[in-house]
Amino acid sequence: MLIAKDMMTTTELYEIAKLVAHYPVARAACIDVLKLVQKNRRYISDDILAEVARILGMSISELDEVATFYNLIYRQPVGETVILLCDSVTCWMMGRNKIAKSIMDNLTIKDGETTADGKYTLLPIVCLGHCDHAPAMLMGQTLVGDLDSTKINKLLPKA
Amino acid sequence: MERPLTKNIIANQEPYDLAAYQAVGGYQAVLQTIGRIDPTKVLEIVVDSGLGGCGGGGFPTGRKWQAMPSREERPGTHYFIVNADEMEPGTFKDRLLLEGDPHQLIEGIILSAYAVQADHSYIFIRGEYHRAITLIEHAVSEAEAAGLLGLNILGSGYNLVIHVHGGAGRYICGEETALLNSLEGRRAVPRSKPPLPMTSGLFGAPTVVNNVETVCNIPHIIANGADWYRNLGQNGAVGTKIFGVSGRVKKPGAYELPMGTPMQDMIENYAGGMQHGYKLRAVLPGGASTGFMLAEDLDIPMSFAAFAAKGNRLGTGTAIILDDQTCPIGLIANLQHFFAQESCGWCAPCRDGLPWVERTLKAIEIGEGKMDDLDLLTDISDTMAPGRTFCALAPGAMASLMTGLSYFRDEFERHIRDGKCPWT
Amino acid sequence: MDIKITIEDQVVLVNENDNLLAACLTAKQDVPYFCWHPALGSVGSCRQCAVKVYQGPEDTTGRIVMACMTKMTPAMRVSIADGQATKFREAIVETVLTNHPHDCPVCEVGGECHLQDMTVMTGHSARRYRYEKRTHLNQNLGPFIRHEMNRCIGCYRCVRFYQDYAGGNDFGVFGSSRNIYFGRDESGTLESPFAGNLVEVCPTGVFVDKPFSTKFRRKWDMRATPSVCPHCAVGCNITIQERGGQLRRVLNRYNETLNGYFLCDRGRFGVGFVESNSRLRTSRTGSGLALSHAAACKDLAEILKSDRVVGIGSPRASLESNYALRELVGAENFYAGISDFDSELVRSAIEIARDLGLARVKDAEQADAILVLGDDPTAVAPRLALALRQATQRVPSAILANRGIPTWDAGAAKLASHDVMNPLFVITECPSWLDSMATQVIRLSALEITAASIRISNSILDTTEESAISDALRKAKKPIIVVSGNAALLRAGANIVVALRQVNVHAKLSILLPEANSLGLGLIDNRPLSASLEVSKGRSVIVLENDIQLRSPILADEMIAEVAQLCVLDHIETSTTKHASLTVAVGSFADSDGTFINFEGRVQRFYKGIFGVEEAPQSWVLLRDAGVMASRDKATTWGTYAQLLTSMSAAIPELAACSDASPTVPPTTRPPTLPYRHSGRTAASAHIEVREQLPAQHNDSPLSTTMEGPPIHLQSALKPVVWSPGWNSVQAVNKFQDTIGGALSGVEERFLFQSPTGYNVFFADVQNVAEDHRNLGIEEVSELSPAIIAYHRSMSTS
Repeated sequence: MLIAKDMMTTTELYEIAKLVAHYPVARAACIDVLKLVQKNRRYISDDILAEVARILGMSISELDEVATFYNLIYRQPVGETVILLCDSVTCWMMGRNKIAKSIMDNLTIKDGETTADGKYTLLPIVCLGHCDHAPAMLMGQTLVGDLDSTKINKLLPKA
Repeated sequence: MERPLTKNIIANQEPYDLAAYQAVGGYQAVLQTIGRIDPTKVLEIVVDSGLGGCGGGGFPTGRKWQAMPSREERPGTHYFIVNADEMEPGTFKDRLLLEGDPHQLIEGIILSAYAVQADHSYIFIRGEYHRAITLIEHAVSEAEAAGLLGLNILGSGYNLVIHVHGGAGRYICGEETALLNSLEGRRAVPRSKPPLPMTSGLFGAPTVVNNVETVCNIPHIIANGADWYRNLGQNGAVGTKIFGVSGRVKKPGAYELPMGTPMQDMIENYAGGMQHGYKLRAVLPGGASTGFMLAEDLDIPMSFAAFAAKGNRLGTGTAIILDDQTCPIGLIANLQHFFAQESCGWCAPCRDGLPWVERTLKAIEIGEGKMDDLDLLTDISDTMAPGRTFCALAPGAMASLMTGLSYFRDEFERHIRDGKCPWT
Repeated sequence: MDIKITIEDQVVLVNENDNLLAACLTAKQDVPYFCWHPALGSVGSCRQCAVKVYQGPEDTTGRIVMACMTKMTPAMRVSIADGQATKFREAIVETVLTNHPHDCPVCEVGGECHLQDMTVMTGHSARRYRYEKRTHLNQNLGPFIRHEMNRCIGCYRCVRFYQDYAGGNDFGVFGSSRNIYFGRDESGTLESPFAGNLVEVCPTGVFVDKPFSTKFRRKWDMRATPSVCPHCAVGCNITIQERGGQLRRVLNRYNETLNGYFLCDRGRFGVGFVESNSRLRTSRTGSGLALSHAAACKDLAEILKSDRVVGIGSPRASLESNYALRELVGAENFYAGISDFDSELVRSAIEIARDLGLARVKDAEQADAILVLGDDPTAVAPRLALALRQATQRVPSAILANRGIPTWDAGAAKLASHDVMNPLFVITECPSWLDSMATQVIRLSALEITAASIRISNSILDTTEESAISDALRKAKKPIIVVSGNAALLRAGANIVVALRQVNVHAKLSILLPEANSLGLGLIDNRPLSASLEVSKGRSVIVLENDIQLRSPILADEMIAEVAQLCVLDHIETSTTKHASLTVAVGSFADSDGTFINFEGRVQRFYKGIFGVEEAPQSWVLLRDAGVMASRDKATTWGTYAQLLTSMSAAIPELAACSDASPTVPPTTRPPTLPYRHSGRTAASAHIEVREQLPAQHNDSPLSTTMEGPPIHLQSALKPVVWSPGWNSVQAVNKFQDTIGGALSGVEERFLFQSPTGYNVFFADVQNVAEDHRNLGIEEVSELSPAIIAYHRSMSTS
């Protein structure tokens, strides 16, 4: 369930306060806070960015400088599940490009795109530290290794 | 053979909780140390152990700690930071420790922070390591509840709080000063050194940053002594280390072995040698930032010193095997794509030079290269030699390119001459 | 401490506290750089200033270092010409140019581009990059700055200036790796009042002066003249550039102790009034009949012939013009023409200045504790506010020393402490830009601020009274009190300085004044408009460059109704010119020679910089000519500018410094205001007359109107333009400083109030009589600049 894009819930405000308490200055918590609010909204809209900035006493630019630096902060809408398919050296060597093709074929999207039903977004990611089970990917929060087309067809069947 | 770091880790099983960890002797080092042994004594043991930083640098941990000013010299908060931003391509050792034995890390932090008299600790775990974050957060709360963390630990008067910070991506956060900027809620751009973090670190305060594996060694060193630790190594090296192999070997994986174990030994005897039909062509010994080694040089003992003597780096100790059916140009292009993308954008040669390298390699790979490109690549890698860029990212990127240009020269020339990649 | 190092086999004496780059540049060596800036410090991001360094005589291999990030040690040997270093520097330029569009011919910065200069300096000429360049969309950054992001070479100077130096937070760097973007989070007018400096801070053409773009000329096609900003009492030094009688743009003119490298936007863009629709170019009668300059002069002479003409001076006119009018009407009939409020303020300011002396902007920048009382300095004296910010942002040197961080290491210094800064206390009526940097902000009414100030001075002497503010001031070594507002507050603020000096803290005092020449006019006459009301009745009144309607509509209406004739000399249309029976067009500051005395007591000369066809005469020249015509003997004694100064010094000895500030220079040694390459001189006016025109004649200036004159290295510190072989951009100023970031070589500055007299004596309290009708942050003349008008419009709609 998604929360209205520009509203911060009471629970979130409480969680933010807890995060801020871990640092001597409020702005230091900005990455933690962006991740927290992203969890509930999938991505950081301009509105919520402005709201977070206000809460942390930062300007919009200051916060967006940070938000746009980090690749796990999404400043554009993504699907319910983000598929992060490793494109680093071992996975590349072990055939990640073929896996990417299977995923793209099955979901009929290109790299970086979201399925029409909003369920999946496919993005490349740097080494996931699962090289002994390459090729690997993160589906949402789940790490999946030893990928082959059979596994892909099972996890992400053709529509 | 002793393997202290991984002795509690059992494949495909949940890690020990606090009770189970304590049942196998966990936190004994903490109980015997905090408030009982002078912090300077603890520091001394770590200095004597010869432990080197396991993040890839190998810098003596004890010496790093000695650079911390005393609380009298610098009143206020002192920080102890754990670098769990494992993102070096081909490296998967810290995740094993984080997920396999969380309390070992917490114990290591308590002892390390005590030794340097830090009262605040952050564990910076890369954001993709969801499971590790959950497990470590749980371990921290267990330790807090047991009075092993917090105010007046074990009645010693020593205080320590730990906060787990999940990262938001980007390889450069693994660079210790960039990591500090990220913890301050800034863009993860490295800082100039000097000043070292020990002098001016997190929020300007004295700060030590250590790798996960480094910290996990501390409880064992404190419990068993420096001499015990030193004797774990082979061929003049000290301690054990988690090494690893990925690529077309029979049993890719991580192995805790004595420091100084010959690489050949690991690949053949632990990783089971090459898969059927594949030959080993070269090895990146310790992640994407190390230089290639050819098959004939693999008798080298895996230690920081032995690799440095060969002009290479042990790096993270997790080897990537290049087989004979993979295009070396494509592999180097993949590595350079990674580095170009992960450059923070701060210094010019890295930010604008790496994309140029990447494009040139891609052009060569698909048969659109020119012979002049090889001189160009040599020139650019010279521009990114150590000390010439702001941090070590670009020089690390150049390690594989420079060794690759020299070892696989004929392959480069073949791609250019034939106008296509022989492997496609 | 000075140490000896060897640069290119020459032993040079260098300041140990400098970085190696600054030392090399001080030694007048050419070392290319991008990210380093003398005022912004070193961060080591561009890697351009690589040199080879050898540690001691045994070192034969040496190593490549970035000069800007290198501390110097005795016996260090430095080679700039070293082959490896040279090759590396060329490679860096080649690398940053991979994304730079080669659009120099259509770029406004072409020909004065630091990137071009550095490219040539490194010897890079042939490109090898053959792939796609990264491109960006530009943003609309408002009426002052045009954005051309594709030209960016990623040196980070813009964000460092905008955020770290100028404290702006609506501009930053977004993204990462090759895909970094310097701009705002979305299109919109840049909010910082110092945004215009991006034009000069950027080493290439990413941030372009937008108004200049519409009347653009190449650097070498414009006359350049040293001038002084007329828009507030700070009097920042500027260079005005003209072509064909049109003012094209304003650049910062480096002055180490005043504006340094930076101006405020009002200063840079306010000059648009000179070319605006509000400009008064033609004289006219009360019925609107246009008059030639000669006819207007004759009519003015007629007025002067009558008995007892009343003269109303102006704090925005030069000392010379004010003095000329005073001489023609007689001192007893000359009035400053300011409000009662300003009159009280200036009287007190002068009294205090004579006793305590006045702080300089540089003192503010180097202060270790600051107390701001009264008005917001950002509104009244923006450049001073920027200096105060530097004082607050500087991590105390003890902390830096403790961490082993050199003061020039801007990156490390910024992160060395997140909470220990030099204290700043802001006690003002209205919110101030400085609030965000303040240790403590206290919002009080003007009256309460005076009372609070009295309490502070009391608690400085009586330590039993607890006060965080007086504690901080007492602990400081070089605190500054910045005071503005009304006369009573000025005296209360001055008494804090007296109290601090009594406890041996050498505090300095800065008094903010309303207009460019408030202090100068105050030394000639300080009688307000109200004082002239009675004597004006039935007489002729000559108003000099002053909109008396704006100062006091009621008084002005009353005066206008009762005078026999109202003659207004001005360069802009005002609500007063509407009522004049004779309106005489005169030159603006850019068309005139004159002197302002700024709020530091600094005597500053500006020079005629525009030479147009049929241009209006400058005020004092017009007054002189009319005076001669009217057979006023006095006017005949100052036929030249030099004679006018002599006369003024004799009449008002305190202004003798003006003569010192304007030495007579023989015509042959006058620096040329036209650049040597002033292209197409013979064709410049061919649309009017195909024959080459004679150069403008102007003898009252130490500058030549032509391109003939001594070469720049033989000129005095008064240089029309900074320009050196290989250095075509504003960075060329490095070549004319004794030490980098220090004073211009050979510069001589003149100050009043140099010998404070009443060091230890408290000022008696006064009661304010006049009411405060001021409109802070609004300066009438710059408000007429189209760019400023557009700026206000964009800020009110956003």
